[in-house]
This record gives sequence, C-alpha cells and structure tokens, in this order.
Amino acid sequence: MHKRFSWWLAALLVAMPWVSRAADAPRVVALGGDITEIVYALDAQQALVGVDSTSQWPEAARQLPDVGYVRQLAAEGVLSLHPQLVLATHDAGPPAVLDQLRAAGVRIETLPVARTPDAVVAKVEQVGNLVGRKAAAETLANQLRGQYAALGRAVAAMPRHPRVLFLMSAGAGSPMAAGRDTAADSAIMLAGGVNAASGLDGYKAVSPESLAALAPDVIMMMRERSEAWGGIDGALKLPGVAMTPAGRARRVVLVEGQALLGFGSRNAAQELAVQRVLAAIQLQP
Amino acid sequence: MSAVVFAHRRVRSGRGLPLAGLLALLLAMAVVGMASGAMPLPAGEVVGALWRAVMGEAAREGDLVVLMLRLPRVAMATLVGAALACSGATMQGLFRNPLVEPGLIGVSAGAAVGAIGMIVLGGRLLAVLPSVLGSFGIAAAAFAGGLLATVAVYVIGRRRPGVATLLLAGVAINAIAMAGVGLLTFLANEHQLRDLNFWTLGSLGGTDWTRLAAVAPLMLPPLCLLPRYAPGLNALLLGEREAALLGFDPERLRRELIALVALATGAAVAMCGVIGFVGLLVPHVLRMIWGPDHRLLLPASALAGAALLIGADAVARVAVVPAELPIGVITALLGGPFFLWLLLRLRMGEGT
Repeated sequence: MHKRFSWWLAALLVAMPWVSRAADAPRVVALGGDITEIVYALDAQQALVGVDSTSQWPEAARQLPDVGYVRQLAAEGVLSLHPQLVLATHDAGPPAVLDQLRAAGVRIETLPVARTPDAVVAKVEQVGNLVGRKAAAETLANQLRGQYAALGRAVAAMPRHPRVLFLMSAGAGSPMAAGRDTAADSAIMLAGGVNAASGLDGYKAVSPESLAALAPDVIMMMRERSEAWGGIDGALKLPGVAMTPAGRARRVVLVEGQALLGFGSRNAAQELAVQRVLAAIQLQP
Repeated sequence: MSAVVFAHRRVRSGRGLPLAGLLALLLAMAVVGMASGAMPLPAGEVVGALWRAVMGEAAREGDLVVLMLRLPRVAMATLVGAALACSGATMQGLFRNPLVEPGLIGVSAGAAVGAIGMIVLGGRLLAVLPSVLGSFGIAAAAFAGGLLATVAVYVIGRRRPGVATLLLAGVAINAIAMAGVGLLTFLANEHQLRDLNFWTLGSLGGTDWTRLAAVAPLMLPPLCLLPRYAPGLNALLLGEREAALLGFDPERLRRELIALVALATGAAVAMCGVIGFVGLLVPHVLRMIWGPDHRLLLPASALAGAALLIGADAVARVAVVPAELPIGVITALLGGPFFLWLLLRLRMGEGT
C-alpha cells in the first residue's frame, strides 16, 4: 500500500511540471513590489519571467530579469521577455510604452491603488484570477480578512491613539515626513495611530523646528533605509527630534517599508506588528 | 574679388570627402542602431523585416519590434542628434565662443520648466486628457517654455550691442529657470519626482511614429535652413563690424539664427528631454579636425551629431537589458572625459 502510494506520488511529481506548463502558465511580467509579493504568496512564481526594480521581495524575485523602474519602462526590454500578461500597478508607465506593448499584442492588466483592507483583499483576488490561482487567492484572501478583522478589534480596544510621524529619508538635508494622501498615512491610521504630519500634503521636508512642533509620540522609519541614518541612534540625533515626545522617550520604530507600505499580501501582518508596538506605548506614559 | 571666389571654390572642393565620410558613418550607426536592442534579432532578420514592410509582404514575429520600436527611434535619434549638434555649432559661431551650447539661450532650461511645471502643476489637466494626449501636453508645455525663455533672453540681450549682454542674459535666464525647476521639484510628489528624471537626463524611450511625425516638421526646416547661414557665420568670426562691412546684418543674423536654434532645440528637448554634451562636443571636435569654416562645420555637425546620438541610444538600450539607461547619462559619460581631455590639450597648445 505504502509502496504503491509513493509510486503514484513519484509519477505525479514527474507529470506535474509538464501538466502545469501545458495547462495555464502564461508568461507573466510583474510591475510593482506589491504585485510580485502577491504572485509569490499565491505560489504562482513559475509564471514570472520578469519583474520591475521595486520588486525586492522575496529574495528569489531579485534573480529574475529586471525591466527597470516601473514608471520608466522600455518597450523592447519588456517584449524581449516574451510576456503574455503584464500585471502592472496603477502608476506603471510611461503611457506611450504601455501603448506600444498593447500594440505588440501583450495583455496589460492594471491593478488599482490599494490603501484599505478591502482593496488589498480585492487586489489579491484579482491577481489570483489573472494568474489562474483562484483557489489559492481565496485562501489567502480569507486569511487576510481574518488578520484585518483582528487588527480592527485591537485598534478599537486602544484607549489612546499615539501621534506617529513617518520619516522617509534623511540625507544631508531635512528628513521627509509623510503627510496626507501617502501610503504611510494610511498605514499609520490602520495600525491605530494618528499621523502627526496630517497637515502636510504628500511627502514634505520638515525643518527641525517643525519636527518639534509636530510633537510626535512615535517616529517611524523604514528598516531598509535605517542604516543610512545610523539606525535608531542616528534618528534620535536628527536635529529637532530630541525636542519631541518621541525623542525624549527614545521611541523610534523600524518597519519593513515595502511590506507595510506596498499594501500587498504582507501588509496585514506588518500592520498587526505596528499596532502591537503602538499599543505597548500606552503602558508606559 | 577673384581671389575670394577662388578660395571659396577650393574649400568647396575639399568639403565633399568629409561629408561623404560622415554620411557613411551615420549610415553605419543607423545599421548598428537598428540591429541592437533587448530582443535578440539577427541582422538578417532586421533587414528582412524592412524588406517585408517595403514589399508589403506578411510580417513575421520580430518585425513589429523593428518597424514600430527601433525604426522610429533611430529616426528620432537622427533628427535630435542632428538638431542639437547643428544648433551647437551655430551658437558657438554666433557667440564666437567654443564653450557655448544650444541651451545657453535658455531653450533647454525653459523647456524643462515647461515640462516639469506641466507634470507637477498640470496634474488635474492631465488627468482629464487621455493618457497619450497627456504626454503631448507635456511636450507642448516644454516647447512653449523653451521658446518663451529664448524670447526673454533675446529681448533682454538685444538692448545693448554685441553678444556679451545676450550671453549674460542667457546665463541669468538659465539660473532663474533652474530655480523654477528646484521649486517645482520641492512641490512634486514621489512619483512626479521620478518622472522629472526623464527631463533632466533625457531618453528616446516611448518614441513612436506619432511622436516622430509631431516633431519632424519642427526640426527639419531649421536643419535645412541653418547651413545656409554659414557665410554669415564665417563673416561674424571676423567680428561684427567686419561682418557688417561684408554686407551681413549682424542683428538680423542673430535674430534669425536664434529663432532657428530655438525651434530645433526646443522641439528636441520637448520630445526627448535635456540631452547634454552633444551640442557642445560634436562641433568642437569637428572644428579641431577640419577648422572653423561653417560651410563644412554646420552640415558635418548635423551628420556627426546624428551618428553619435544613434550610437548612444543603442548603448542606452542594451547596457542594462531588459531595462534602459537615460541617454543623457551616456552622452555625458562619454562627453565629459573627452571634453576634459580636449580642454587640457588646448591649454597645452597655448603653453607652447
């Protein structure tokens, strides 16, 4: 019995790549870190023949041919990968290149902006449909719905919502803070925080004085870029930070930038992690 | 008088060879440009695609790439390279200064402000328009910005005789335009910032027949007309008073040449962004080889500029396959060191 089973399994394993290749494996180019992430989460990566430069996760995606920055695509470069389907974020471009790709017979599916749990779930389902992974997408969607529901309950239970300031980059000049209408703004609100820079529009450079005036309880930064600033200690030394509640209590949170702000399949878990950090802050006023 | 006519004839007879050589170089670069790209297409396939298109035979799989992507791109590189280099040669002659490039009269910086202003501030307008029209809206704003800045430079510059005021007005308008670019960069969001890169580094990506057809009528007339001004530019080399004595009106020459250069450069920048060094480098090198006679220099610059840009674009397309480098990076990377070498050589020549 056991022997027979393993024989079957071996036969299945041998036949499987052939079956999946013959059935529905369109050659797919994913444009956008969030989309690549979802394709991998749905275990549909065999179909991927190329990604854009924002697709940094998972590690395996970096081994694929890189067609460049998502807003500066080159028509012939994409065509050289012979894709049948291009899964593109809403801001892929330039439009002239997308038109050239369409004219060459490539199917381009643009996915809408997602900054809410519903939109993330919808995006997962849409990618699942497009790459022929409907069942896997439904499983993942349900899992995400569960995580977001738990997040909603946890946020509702928070007695106070700390003021969070997301700082994007700090070169020699002033750091850039995430204001209204940014992915960071949505991410902060979802995790139960209040964006301290909601008076700004988009990403704006903030002077040391306005940093102090924004009076954030927490400063949030991307872990990917934190080395450039000298990590948490470096952030605390930024001019103006010492004058904020966050600076005085050394509350600097490092987040996984792409996972959180890409609003892909990893967003929910990241939001939960951030929420736990924000909730813990309440305990030590 | 007869001596002048004789000299004229003698130079004319010596021009055929260099121009024929450059034409051959241009054709060779066009072949290289047509044969290079992300898609591995053998040269025979490229020739076959062209042949099938001309003979009206059924197209094969790779033909579309050759006909819809590479051919318009090589044609655009030819036009833009010729326009920039020929404009550069004209400006260097007009200002009697070998360090001048076409951007000096404000056209490039003005175009950049126009385009970037449209990207950053015209977002609502662009959102209403269909996407393809939107990209033309940016190009139109760039073209208008370039012409406007040029008019400003000219109007201010002509208030005093000579080219010095014009040159300084150009420097000042450029500075103001760059401040405008800086301000708009500050206002831009992260996506717009990435789009601005295109304008500061240039690219021939996204070129198709429509875009080519839109700019060709703006660039071809100046390209055909500029070489006709060669005698006037040659006379200007002697000085403005001497040119006037020879029967040229320096004021009129200046006005017409600036208009033509603004038209050609403005259209080039509007479609492909600011591509540096071509307008500075090409005329420079040709002058070193064949001397300052504009009757040879202007057409030779156009041919060599076209060849250089086709080559640079081919490198841009294959260097980081399947992505693409901005072409301005390549022209500056090739042009910068070359220019330094040239500068040192000239200095050493002065020293001895």
